[in-house]
Amino acid sequence: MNYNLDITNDRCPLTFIKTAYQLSKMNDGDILELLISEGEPLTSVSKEVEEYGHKIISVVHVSGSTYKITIQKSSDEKLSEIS
Amino acid sequence: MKKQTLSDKELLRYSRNIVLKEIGIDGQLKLMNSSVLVIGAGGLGSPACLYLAAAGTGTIGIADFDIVDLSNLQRQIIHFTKDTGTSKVISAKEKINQLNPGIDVRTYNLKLDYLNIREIVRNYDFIIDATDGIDQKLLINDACLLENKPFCHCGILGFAGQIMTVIPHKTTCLRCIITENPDASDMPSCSSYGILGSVAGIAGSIQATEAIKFITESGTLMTDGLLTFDLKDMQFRKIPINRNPECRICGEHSEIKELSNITTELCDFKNNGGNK
Repeated sequence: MNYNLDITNDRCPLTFIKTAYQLSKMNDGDILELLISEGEPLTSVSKEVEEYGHKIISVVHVSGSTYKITIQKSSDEKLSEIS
Repeated sequence: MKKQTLSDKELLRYSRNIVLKEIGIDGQLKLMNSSVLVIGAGGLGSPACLYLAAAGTGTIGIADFDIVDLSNLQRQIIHFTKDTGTSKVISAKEKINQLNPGIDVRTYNLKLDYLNIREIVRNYDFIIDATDGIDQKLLINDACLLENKPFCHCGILGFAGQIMTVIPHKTTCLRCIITENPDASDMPSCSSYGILGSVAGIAGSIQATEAIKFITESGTLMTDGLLTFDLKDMQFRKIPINRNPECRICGEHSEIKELSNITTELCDFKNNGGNK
């Protein structure tokens, strides 16, 4: 299934927490399209999502300061620590 | 009803908890579905209640029979000057709900004794002993052992204190250490000893931390020994103490099967000024 989440108005650490929470509610292989602001949110959330074992399929510039990260959920032992 | 999801506001409020790997969303939900009873709304109970409320503990029970006195305000930081003359549990409930309106606060405006303590304790997941008399501490120990409820013991005086968490019948309890009921005449008079407010603040905060760790199943609890500290010289020690096979309540031949009034009337801490 595909899911969408807009965290362009959120700041660290809520950006990561909302993303991790959404991923925790999804099944393995599901896709999350994440709208996120450039700069620190884009950099840190991308890094953390990969650290938790998920796959970043693409990062696309949408408009202005907004980017879209497409993430494929993958179960990982480390993820259970936060979710 | 058991809470299973978090709203955006809750994610934001508790974000600094959730981002801790030891807690996470799962631990936060455990906290929000948990209940902690704080016995004593004084120097220890004040920070304990406030940190438990801030952390999102779902239900906080507060037991105290006293009213707020001007002399309490030096250390009992949940009470304000405007609260003097007010019931401590009412004052504490008001502050907790101002800090975090989502907390279910239950108040017990009474002195816990051998007749009423067990039925109150059994409704909670974890108990914090924030009282100031050895008689009350032994009563809480015995009630928690009989009800199989984990609790955190603490005693403070001056700049010093001691803390121990007890998992009933698994770790050292207070009666493993205090083998006989102390004579009231041997006990220091609370009114003759001072207590620095910040010392109570540290101790009560550690007790809240123990409760949160127990509920979220994180870290290592301060069990099977005493954490002792003397902040005058900034000394902290962990003293290992094994369970006592001769313990009167958790030993091999335990003799305390029911509560009685022998543990409750050694000294009347209401009349000696209190040092909570």
